[in-house]
Amino acid sequence: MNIIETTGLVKDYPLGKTTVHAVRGIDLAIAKGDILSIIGPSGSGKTTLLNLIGCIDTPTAGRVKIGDTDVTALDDRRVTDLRLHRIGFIFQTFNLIPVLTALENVEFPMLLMKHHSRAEIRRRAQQLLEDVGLAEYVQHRPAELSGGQRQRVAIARALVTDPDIVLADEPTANLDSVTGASILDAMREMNAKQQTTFIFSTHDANVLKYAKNIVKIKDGLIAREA
Amino acid sequence: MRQIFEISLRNLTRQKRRNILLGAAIACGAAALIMANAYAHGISKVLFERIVRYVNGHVAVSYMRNGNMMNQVFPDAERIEHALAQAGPEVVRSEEAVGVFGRAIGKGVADNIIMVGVDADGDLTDQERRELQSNFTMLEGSFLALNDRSMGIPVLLAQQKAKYLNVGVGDQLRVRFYQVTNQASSATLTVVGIFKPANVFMTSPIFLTTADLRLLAGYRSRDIAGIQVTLRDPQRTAQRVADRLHDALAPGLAVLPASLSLRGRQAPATALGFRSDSASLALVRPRLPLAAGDSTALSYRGAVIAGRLAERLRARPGDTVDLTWPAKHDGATGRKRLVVRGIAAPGAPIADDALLLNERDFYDAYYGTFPAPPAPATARQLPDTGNPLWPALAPEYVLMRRAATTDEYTEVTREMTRASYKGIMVSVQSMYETASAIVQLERALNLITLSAVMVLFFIILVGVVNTLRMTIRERTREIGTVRAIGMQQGDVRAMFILETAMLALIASAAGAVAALLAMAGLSAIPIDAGDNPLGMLLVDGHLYFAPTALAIVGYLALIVAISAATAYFPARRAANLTAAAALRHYE
Ligand SMILES: Nc1ncnc2c1ncn2[C@@H]1O[C@H](COP(=O)(O)OP(=O)(O)OP(=O)(O)O)[C@@H](O)[C@H]1O
Ligand SMILES: [Mg+2]
Repeated sequence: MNIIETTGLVKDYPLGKTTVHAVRGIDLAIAKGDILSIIGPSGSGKTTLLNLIGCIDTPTAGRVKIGDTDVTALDDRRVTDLRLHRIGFIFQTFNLIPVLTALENVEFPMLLMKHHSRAEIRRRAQQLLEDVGLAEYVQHRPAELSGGQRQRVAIARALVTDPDIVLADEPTANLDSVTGASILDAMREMNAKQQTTFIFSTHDANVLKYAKNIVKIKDGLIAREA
Repeated sequence: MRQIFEISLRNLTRQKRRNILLGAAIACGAAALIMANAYAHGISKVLFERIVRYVNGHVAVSYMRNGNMMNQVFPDAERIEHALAQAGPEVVRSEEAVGVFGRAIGKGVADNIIMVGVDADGDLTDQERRELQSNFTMLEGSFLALNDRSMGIPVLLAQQKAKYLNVGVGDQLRVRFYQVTNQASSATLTVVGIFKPANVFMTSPIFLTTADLRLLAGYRSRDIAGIQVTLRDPQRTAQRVADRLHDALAPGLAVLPASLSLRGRQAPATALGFRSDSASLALVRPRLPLAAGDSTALSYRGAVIAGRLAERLRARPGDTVDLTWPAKHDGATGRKRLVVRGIAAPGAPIADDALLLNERDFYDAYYGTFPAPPAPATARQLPDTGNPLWPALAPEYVLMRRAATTDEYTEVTREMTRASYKGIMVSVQSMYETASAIVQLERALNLITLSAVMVLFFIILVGVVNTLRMTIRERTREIGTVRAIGMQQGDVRAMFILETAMLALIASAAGAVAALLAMAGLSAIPIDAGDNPLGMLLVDGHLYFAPTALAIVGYLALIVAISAATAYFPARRAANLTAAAALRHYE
């Protein structure tokens, strides 16, 4: 069963008088429980594609389906809800909320869901931070953490809602190789345990060995699917 | 919601410098606004509750006879009191305003004065007595000595007046003046107190008790002077009460039930007056055919009597008749000697016992000894509005049309004076006509406050919009993050609005505290205004602020609301970005 399907996905960016065709018609079917890596040269459209799949950007043409839901047909409120409940993001630049502590950052998406008790949320966030090895840093603000620590907080935050899909745009680009590997290990474990679908883009050949499938894109089109 | 609140609160502490600056601006604005309002309110309280109330009354009833405004007397207190009872629940108090112009002779100097009556021992509540006494800061003697007649007629003088007339407490002051009957008169007063005037309006009058002054001025016991009405919430109710009082004072027909005698014969008669201006005469002449007497009968002073009445008395034109009638009060009897000028023909539209008098004679008699009301049988026969003579018949008095402004009031007065009524002209005025200068001053002050609101509004507008724009630009990626994670647009918007509203609330509350402290400080400083008329805006030589809790809360709410409304648009723009666009934001 495919958890994500895209058909004829196109994304154009207007740029002055011209138009940049960042994604030019991508059909993609991703099975539940996959670990998919999207690779391709810089400027090939990886980030754009992930944004479309993650429903944080709207395609110029084509559709995105998450499970049975055609996302392109939904209004902003529903799409936002869908992101909250089914998708987790790990950003290249971590993007933690600077005024919240590590623990509060992790709690944040669960609080938005509004159907868990405070105690339950706290327990789960604490547990996740322990899982990523940050038990001692729960009260630190992002500014008081290292890059790797921040990325681990970001991972805990992406996983706290128990999403079906986790999207990561070059999750290891800002990390040293050891930290990067440990993070990818954590992802793999999670995938094995909970059938969470992981999709990440990368430049890094080391990262590729964690992938079950690889999609290579070039100039906004799929070059080869392995 | 709690989470949004917490994030907003923490975000507030993030840009400390910027938020402190903006907060300080808002605080200054709030303080200025609250102070301006409290000052304007203080002044309006001083103006309306102290000055207008004592100088003009919030609503006033006054009289004028033969164009003479000094003639503040009406012969039937009951009539006026009856109308006052219908003026409505807004009336706190109504009292007679007696003022008599004259000349005072002190030690070696004379000066023009106005004697003003104060009700020092009347049925005042404690509160009213305190307010009254607060207008008289005694330097020498005592206010309550006004009630002590053991040393003659007591009088209070302002400091400046006493100095000019060169008199002190215990000294005598000789005054010369005209009574309401236009009789020249004089009296000796004893100075029992010297006070520091609370405002410029109190420097020149000299104060006697109303009772003493009534006697001096020649008021009879049932005469009533002009009335000053004090209202609750005068700014809102003055016009309404004046209108109501005006309606209650609508005059009826003046009737003088009397008995007429000629050479030992006597018959009951009902005397009515008719207006003697040419328009009225032109109306009366064709409608009142005469059996005897000539066509000039109506123009001359004297009487035209009904045919039946003439028969009973065997009166002919040229006869001198005596009119007598019982007074309404005191069991007195009124008398008037008249010459019969004409006898009405049968069929004239008047009752069989009627006697028509030229208004000049009529009012002299009518006001001179105010008559008892007609017996019911007589009352039923009186002419009504259907009578052809009605428009020319003399009313109890002439009620002046209500005017909306001082100018209009002057115009109405001029019109009425030109019509040269012989009856008393009664007018009802609210402070909007009598004290229009003060009302305008109050309006100007409110306008200043309003301008302060506008200025503040723009400070907040510009400050908040700019700060928010900067803040939002800096936090665009953050917005993208929370939107990607799954925060709804509305919540993102709420986060920024809440942040701004909290800043505005904290800042304006601080401003309110600062304003209260500043007002306490400023009103503690004594100010000597000397003879500057603006000194009347001071209370006991101090600035007077009257902050109200409602106004402060209202302004805080207004500031918070303005800030929140201002924050709405940039916040909405930020929330409407797609998460991807926000995340891409780079600077
Ligand atoms: N907002 C934008 N406006 C105009 N052009 C854009 C915009 N965002 C991306 N592009 C263009 O779209 C193309 C695809 O960009 P995208 O960010 O998806 O590439 P990428 O594969 O993620 O590259 P990288 O590996 O360097 O991150 C690029 O040519 C880029 O210049
Ligand atoms: Mg990219």
